[in-house]
Amino acid sequence: MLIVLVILVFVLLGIADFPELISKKQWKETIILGVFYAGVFILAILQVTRGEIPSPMMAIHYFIDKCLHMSFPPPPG
Amino acid sequence: MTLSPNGAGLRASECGLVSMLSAKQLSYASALFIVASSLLIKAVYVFSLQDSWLSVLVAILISLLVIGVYGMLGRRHPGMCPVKLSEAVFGRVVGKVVAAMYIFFFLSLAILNLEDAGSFVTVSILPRTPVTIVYVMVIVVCAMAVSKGHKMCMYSTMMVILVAFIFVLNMLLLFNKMELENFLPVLTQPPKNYFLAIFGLLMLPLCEIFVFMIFAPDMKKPEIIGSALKGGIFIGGFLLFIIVVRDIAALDGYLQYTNNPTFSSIRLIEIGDFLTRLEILYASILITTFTFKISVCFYAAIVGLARLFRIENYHIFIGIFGVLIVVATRGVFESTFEHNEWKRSAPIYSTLFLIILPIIMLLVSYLRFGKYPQKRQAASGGENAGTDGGNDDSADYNPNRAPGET
Repeated sequence: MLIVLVILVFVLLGIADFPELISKKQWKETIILGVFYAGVFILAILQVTRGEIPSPMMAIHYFIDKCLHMSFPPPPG
Repeated sequence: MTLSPNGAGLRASECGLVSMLSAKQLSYASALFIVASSLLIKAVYVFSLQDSWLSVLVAILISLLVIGVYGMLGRRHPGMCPVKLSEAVFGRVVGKVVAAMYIFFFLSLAILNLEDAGSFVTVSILPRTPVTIVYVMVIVVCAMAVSKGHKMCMYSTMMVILVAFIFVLNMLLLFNKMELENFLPVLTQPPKNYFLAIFGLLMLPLCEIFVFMIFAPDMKKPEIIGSALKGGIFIGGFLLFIIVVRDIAALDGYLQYTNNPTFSSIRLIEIGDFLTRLEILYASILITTFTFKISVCFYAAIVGLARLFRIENYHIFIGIFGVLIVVATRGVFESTFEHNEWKRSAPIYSTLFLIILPIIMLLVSYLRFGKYPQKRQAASGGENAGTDGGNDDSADYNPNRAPGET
């Protein structure tokens, strides 16, 4: 059900964005936007089906905390 | 076609068709941005307890120094946003990498703030509402604001006045619950705790107004962006100070145990039997300011991206980035534990973008272009007249355009 909703949202957004770009022959914009659409679509589908997506923020936290040892200490008490 | 730093053909100020941002409008907008973070200052209370008011004052003073660096960048390269600034200072390749990092930073701010707004709404106001519904509703409003462009900042003056009025009113209504003894004893925490509190304040609410550098090309006088941001620090910092003083005076030791001290202190307001439950007023203010903050970060991310790819119409990214922000916000933290863990790293993460990179940019700008980059530009423009010179960034440097622009 959620997958259908995700596909519907992407189709509606695509209808709003792409026809104008293609009619104006703005190919660079079309390609860049297409790449973002594909990436976000994959993320959305991953989230709906697997329930989780890789979090860059946790990777950054891991780097700051475990590699740099610079994160704030846990709150006192 | 001539591209401008704001990616809209001629500079907006030159064509005179678009209403530009004044320094005062930018000051109020950045103050509103700071006030939106009042939910995120719990760490200050945790580390400096009843001395948090002192931490706020010191953090405001230090932030003025950091804003001074932004101001110097703004004066040396007037009308340049962080994306164009990176390209102009570091050159085409390294500049694009740094610009992409800034875009990621702005996007991450939008995601993290949306996460905070969603948590606040579902924990404090609408506990049975699925958080995704809150995310979608907020991001739809943000997308509408972003579609208006820099005009979203023009109405913040009224909002700041309203917020200030409500904060002062809250303080007056809480007067019977406030105790001056709650501020005592003074300076009893270890110095490290004050450092952590001040550093946390500096990075999370105060210096985050660096995001407003994205509006540099949309200002009437872009060279005074530093002064405008300093004005924002004064107004926003003062409002933050009022919040902290009120919370300490009203809550005392309970400060450490509540997740949202500001919300808890307003819950204490009880005048007779009729003037109670005023927290909903604060919640409305907080959601509005959060929406504004997310809109500014959302705008900075997609406008930055459009300028990086030299795309004139940033509107094409609004829909897809709105979806990306919702998807990423849902997946950024799997649990409250992860969110709390992130809060320990957030100030360090921000330091790279808000202090280290701006200082490096300023140093490199001095090294490459000397004391007067605009004179250098005029001189090199004369020498290079009629020549190609397209590949030498230092020779054809123009502070109002990034390398590669024609």
